[in-house]
Amino acid sequence: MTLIAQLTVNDAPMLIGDVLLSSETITGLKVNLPLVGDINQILADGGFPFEVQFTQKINVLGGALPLVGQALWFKRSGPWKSSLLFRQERI
Amino acid sequence: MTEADINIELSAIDPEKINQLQLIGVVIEDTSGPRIRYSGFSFRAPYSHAPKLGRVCGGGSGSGAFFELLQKSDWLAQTDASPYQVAHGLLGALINEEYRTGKTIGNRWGGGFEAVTFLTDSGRLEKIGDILHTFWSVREREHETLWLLPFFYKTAYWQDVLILRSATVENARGDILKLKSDDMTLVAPTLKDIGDYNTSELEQIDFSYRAVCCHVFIEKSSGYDLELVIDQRKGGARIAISFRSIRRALAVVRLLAELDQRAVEYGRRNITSFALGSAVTFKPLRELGRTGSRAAAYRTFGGFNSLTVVDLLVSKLKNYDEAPFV
Repeated sequence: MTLIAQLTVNDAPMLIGDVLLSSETITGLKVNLPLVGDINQILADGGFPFEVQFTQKINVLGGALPLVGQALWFKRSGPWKSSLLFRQERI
Repeated sequence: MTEADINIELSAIDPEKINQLQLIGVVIEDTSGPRIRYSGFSFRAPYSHAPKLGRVCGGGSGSGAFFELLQKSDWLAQTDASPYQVAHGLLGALINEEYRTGKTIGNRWGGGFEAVTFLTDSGRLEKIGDILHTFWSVREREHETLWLLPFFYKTAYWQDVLILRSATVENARGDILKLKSDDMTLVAPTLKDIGDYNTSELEQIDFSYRAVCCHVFIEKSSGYDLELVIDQRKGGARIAISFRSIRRALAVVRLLAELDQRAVEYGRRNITSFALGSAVTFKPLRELGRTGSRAAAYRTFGGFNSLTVVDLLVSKLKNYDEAPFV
């Protein structure tokens, strides 16, 4: 899950995104949330059935195409020169 | 690449194989004119309406909270706010939401936030970095109880890596402070890993900032609240803060001394408006609040007069020599 958003300010585009990437697979990976500590340990202690790690979700392609998304497999089927592959995540 | 190209790609997605995709983006088409020309696209992301901003597209488990946050952000009504200022304000508001509610991670969103917008100064898309978050505490109706909490959190960029930088300071004995934590988390872009970078080239990331968010914990009879106050500087103006060199000096005093030094550079015409107002206009803070000028006190939710909080902060900053924080 995630937060992604697009808005317009004074005719300029703006994209907002979070960095949390959740997974049902429990690996024990230590992920420090600033000023909070190991967030996965806190989640485990709280009984939450998932772990998290961080990744950027806003991507600027070619300097002109900002893109935010939470995606599974973004399949190449058209004329793009390169395909986009996003990490798998439940939404 | 055009919006049409992207829509062709999106329409070609096999819903049986990919059924949980949400995607939002914009294509920049022309930046040569006085106004940027672009088109937006989205895939399975709903729209909402926000005051001043108009149509907003959002997705993910945090989108509902984000839409609510926009409804409460009356500071967005400022008519002359630049995209940078709005981006900075929203990033501050989201961090505020995360620390205020403590519910974002449990709802599988948050952890840190990014914003990208088109800045006319540079003529390009830029991610908004160099934002410092400071944390304050005050009791409702007991203004003299204001404290600057020794927690510091900054976001910055190195190459295309997002840096989450934080530090906490604690009293060792007497007036001697020591660094309790000094952390840095690197967040790589999609499809990259931090192992792809030569992090030995990463220099020390100090707490210099271009904009600062003051998160003020307010102890109320009915519980706690977390107010957000924002200071924004003209592009390029930075204040350097380093924890490495601190020994006997209080970290907070160093921070305040830096603020004060900058005020001296500007002629100390009005340290109050400098400290948490505008370093450019030197207008009295209350006037800034009324006129919605370049720098202002932003109130993210009701129940407390944010200008009062700002006045308190300013008062403490102004008189820190006489009454240092402890």
